[in-house]
Amino acid sequence: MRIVIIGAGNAGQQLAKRLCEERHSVVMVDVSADALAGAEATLDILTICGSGANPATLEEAQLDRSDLLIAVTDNDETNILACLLAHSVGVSKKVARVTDPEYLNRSSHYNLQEMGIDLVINQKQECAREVFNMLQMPGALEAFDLFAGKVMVAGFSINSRSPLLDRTPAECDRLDLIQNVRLIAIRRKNTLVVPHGDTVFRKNDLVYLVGMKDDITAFSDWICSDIKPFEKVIIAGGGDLGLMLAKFIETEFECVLLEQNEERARLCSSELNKTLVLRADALTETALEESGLHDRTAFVALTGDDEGNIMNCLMAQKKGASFTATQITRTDFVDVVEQLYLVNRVVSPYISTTNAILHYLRSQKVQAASLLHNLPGELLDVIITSKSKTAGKKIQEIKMPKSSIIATILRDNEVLTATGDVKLTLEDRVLIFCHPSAVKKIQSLFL
Amino acid sequence: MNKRMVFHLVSYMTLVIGVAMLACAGIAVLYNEPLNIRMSFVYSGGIAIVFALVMNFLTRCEINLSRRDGFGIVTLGWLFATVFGSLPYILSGVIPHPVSACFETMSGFTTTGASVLSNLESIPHSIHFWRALTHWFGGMGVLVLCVAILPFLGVGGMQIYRAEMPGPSKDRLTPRITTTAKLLWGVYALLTLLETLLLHFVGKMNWFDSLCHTFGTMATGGFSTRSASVGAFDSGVIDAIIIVFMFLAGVNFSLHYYALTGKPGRYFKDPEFRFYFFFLGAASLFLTFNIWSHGAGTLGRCFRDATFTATSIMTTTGFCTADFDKWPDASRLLLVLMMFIGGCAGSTGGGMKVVRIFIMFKKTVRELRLFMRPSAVFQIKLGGKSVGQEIISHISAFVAIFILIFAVGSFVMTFFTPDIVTATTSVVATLGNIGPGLNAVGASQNFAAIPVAGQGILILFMLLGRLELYTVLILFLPGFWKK
Repeated sequence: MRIVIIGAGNAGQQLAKRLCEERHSVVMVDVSADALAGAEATLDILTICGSGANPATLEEAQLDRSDLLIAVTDNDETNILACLLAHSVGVSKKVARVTDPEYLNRSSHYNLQEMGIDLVINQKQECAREVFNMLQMPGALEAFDLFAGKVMVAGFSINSRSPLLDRTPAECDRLDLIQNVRLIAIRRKNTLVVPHGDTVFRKNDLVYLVGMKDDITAFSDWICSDIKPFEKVIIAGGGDLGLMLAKFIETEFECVLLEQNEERARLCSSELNKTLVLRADALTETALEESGLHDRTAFVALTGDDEGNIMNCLMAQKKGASFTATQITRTDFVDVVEQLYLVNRVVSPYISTTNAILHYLRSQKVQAASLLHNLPGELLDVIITSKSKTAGKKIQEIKMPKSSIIATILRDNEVLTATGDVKLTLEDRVLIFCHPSAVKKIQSLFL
Repeated sequence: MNKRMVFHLVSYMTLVIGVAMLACAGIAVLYNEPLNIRMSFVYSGGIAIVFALVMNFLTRCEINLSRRDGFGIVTLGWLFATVFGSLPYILSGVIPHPVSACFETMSGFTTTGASVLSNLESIPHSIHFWRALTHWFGGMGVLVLCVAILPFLGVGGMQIYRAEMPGPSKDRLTPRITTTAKLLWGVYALLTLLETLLLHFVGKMNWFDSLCHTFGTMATGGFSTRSASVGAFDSGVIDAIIIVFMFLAGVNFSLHYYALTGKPGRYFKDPEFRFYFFFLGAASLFLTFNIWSHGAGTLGRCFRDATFTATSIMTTTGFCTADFDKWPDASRLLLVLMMFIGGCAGSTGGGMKVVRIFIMFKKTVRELRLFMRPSAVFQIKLGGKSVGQEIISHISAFVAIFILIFAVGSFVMTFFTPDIVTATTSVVATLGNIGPGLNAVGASQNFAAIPVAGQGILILFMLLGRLELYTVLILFLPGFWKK
C-alpha cells in the first residue's frame, strides 16, 4: 500500500515506523526540513518538505497514486484540508487528527465524515479515556478492555516487594489467581520475552496478562497490594485534555482542577458540574495545600509543559499523594521518567492516536488491533471464517510465528482459555499477541 | 561502528562476487579454454563463497545500521570485492603480481578502465568476460544490488545507498529504498540489453564482443577486448551506438526512469542534463575543428573521432577510437579538464559530477555579485528550486578535497612516472575513474609501466573517486572506529 503521512511529529513518526515494518511505501510531508531529516535518518521513507495543505506539495507526493492519507499535524485546518484534497483526487481512505471541538460538532449541514474523511481522531478524547482507565486500575501500568468489556488486558511491573519476584508462575502462592489469567508477554530490558511455564519473573519485568475483567482486578489487588485505592483526583492544567478528563471522572471521584488562567478557569467551571475548579499555579505549595491533597489522592499533571508536569508530580508525592501520573509529549523523556520511577504513570497522547489509526487500518479484516505502550507488540482480534487456514485445527497444531501467542478465544460470548487442545471453530474470535513483524504472517494464517 | 554487523553485510557482497566468478568458469568451458584457466575461476569462486559463508555464519546478528556503518560497509565491501576479484588474474597467471591484479580489479569495479594488460588479443575469453563483468557490477554498485535483493536491510538500505551512489543529493524514486534500487538496476539492465542487441545486429559485432563492450559502456568503464579499443572495429555504426550509450550512461538514471514511465520531458527540464548536453556538444565541435585544422583527416572523420573521444572522456568511460595524445595541446588540455567534470550525479560516470561544477559556477557568480552589493541576498537555484546552504558548503568542501588529493597525488606520482604530464594525468584519470591519461599513460599506452608501488597508490585513488571521497576518507578519522 502507498501511504502519505502529513506531519512528522510523534504520531507521524510512530505510525511511519509501524507501517514501514509492514513493508508499506510511506511518503512523509512536513513543513520543517529538520523534522523530516530526523525522520529520514531512521525510517525507510520518502520525505517531501512543504505544507500538507498545499496542492503542489501533495502532487509532488503523488497523492493521486496513493491508497491512504493520514494527516496528523498539530494544525486541524491543515489536516482537514489535506483530507479534502485527497478526497478530490480519489484517495480511497483518509484519516485526520482533529482536536478543536468546534470542528468535531456535527450538524445536519456539516459532518466531517460526509466530507470524505473516513476517520476523525480526537486525540484529546482518546487520551482522556486512557487516563480514566488508568485511574480505575491504579496497579496496572496500562489496562484496557476488549470484546465489549468481557476481556481485559493489563500490564504490571514486578518490583522488589512483588509476590511474583524470582518465581515461575507455578510456584506462586495464589495459584488460583494465576490460573484464571493468561500470561502473554514480558518485557525485560527493552526485549520481548514470550513466556513459557518455566519463565522466572525478575525484578523490573513488565508482565502482560489477558483475562476476564474480574480475574484481572483480583490479580491486580493481590500483586499491587501496596497501592491504596484513592478517593480524590487532582488535575493540574485545565486544557482540553484536563477538562475532558474532569468530565469523565467527576461522577466517580472527588475531583479538583487547577488552572492558572482566569478566563480558562471560568470556562472549565461553566462546563463542569461537580468538580472544584481552582484558579492557581499548580507548581506552588499553597495551591497543592488548598486543593486538599492527602494520602488517598491521585495527582494527574496534564499541562503542556513536560518538565513542569514532572516537577509537579514530585511535589505532590512529597505532599503524600498515593498515585501520580504525568503527560509527557517529548518522547525522549518517557524512558527516563519511567525507569527512574519518578511518577507512577506516564501518558503520551500520540500513542492513543497511533492506536486508533492502526486499529482503523486493520479493521477491514481484523476486528481490532491495539498497541501496548511499553511493549513492541500488538494485539490482533481476528474472527475465524471458512477461509481461515486454521479453522478446525487444534491450537497446538497451528504453527504460530515466533514472538506471537494466542491470548484468548471468545466463543458464543464465552471466554475460553487458550490451551493447546482447544479446537478453533467458525465464528470464534481469537485474540493474538504478536510482534509487529509477525502481523502479516498472522493475517495469512487466520484470514 | 558495529564491526560484526559490517562484516556480516560485507559477506553477502563477497558471496555475489564469488557466484559471478563461478559463472566465468562457465565462459571458460564454453570457449574450450585450458584447464588452468577454468580452474582459476572455480578456485577463486570457491574461496570467495566459502569465505563469505563462514564469515556470514560467524557474524550473524540483528541488522540495525547507522549512518556510520553504511560508510564502513561500502568501503570494506569494495576492498573485499577487489581482493577476491583479483584471484582469477593471479591464479590463471595472466597478471602474476598481486598488486597489479588488484589494480586491474579495482580499475574494473570502479569503472576506471585503466589496465596493466597489453596485447589483449592473447588473453582468454573468460578473463575478458570477468574484466567486463567487474565493470558492470561496479557501475550501478554491487551494494546497491544487495540493497535491491536483500529484504532484511530495511532502513539500513538507505545508509548503504547513500554511501555508494554518486552525487551530492540522493534522490529516491520511490518511498522504499529497495524499490528504488530495483528500479535503477532494472533501467541499467534494460539499457544493457538494448545496447548488446544493437551492437550485435546493427553493428555486426559478435555476441561476446557486444556483451563485453556493452558492460564497458553502460558502466562507463572502458575495458575493451582489443588492444586498439573500439578503434579496432573501425566502424562508424559501432562508434555511433557506443557514443549514444556512453552519453546515456553519463545521465542521471532517475531521468531514464522518468522517461521510461512516459515523462521524457524531464530530460531537458533538468538543469544538470542541459549543462551536460550543451557542454558536451560544444566541446565536440571545438575538438572537431581543432584537430581538423591540424590536418587529422577529413571533416567527417574528425567529427566522428572528436565526438567519440569527448563523450568517452567526459562520461569517464575511456574507450578510444583515435590516439588523442597526438592531438594539438589545446585539445589535450580540454580533454583533461573534461576529466575533472565527469558525468551527471546518479549516473555510472565518475569525475566531480556536472551538478557540482554547475553549482560551484553559480556560487562563484554569486560571490562576485556580493562584492558589488554586499547587503544583497542571492539564493542559488537549480531548476527553480533553491539549493540549501548545507549542500553548497558540502560541494565546496568536495571540490577542495578533490583538488587537494589531485595536487598531493600528482606530487607523489612524479616519483613513479617519467614526466609531470604523466604524473598529473595518471592521478586525474584514476581519481575521476576515466582510464587513459596522457603521455606514458595515454590512449595507446597502459599502466603496466608504472611501478607496483605507484599502482598501489592509484588503487586508492580509484576507490576514492568511485565512492566520492567522503565515504573512504571518513574511515581515516580516528573517531570513526570508536563506539
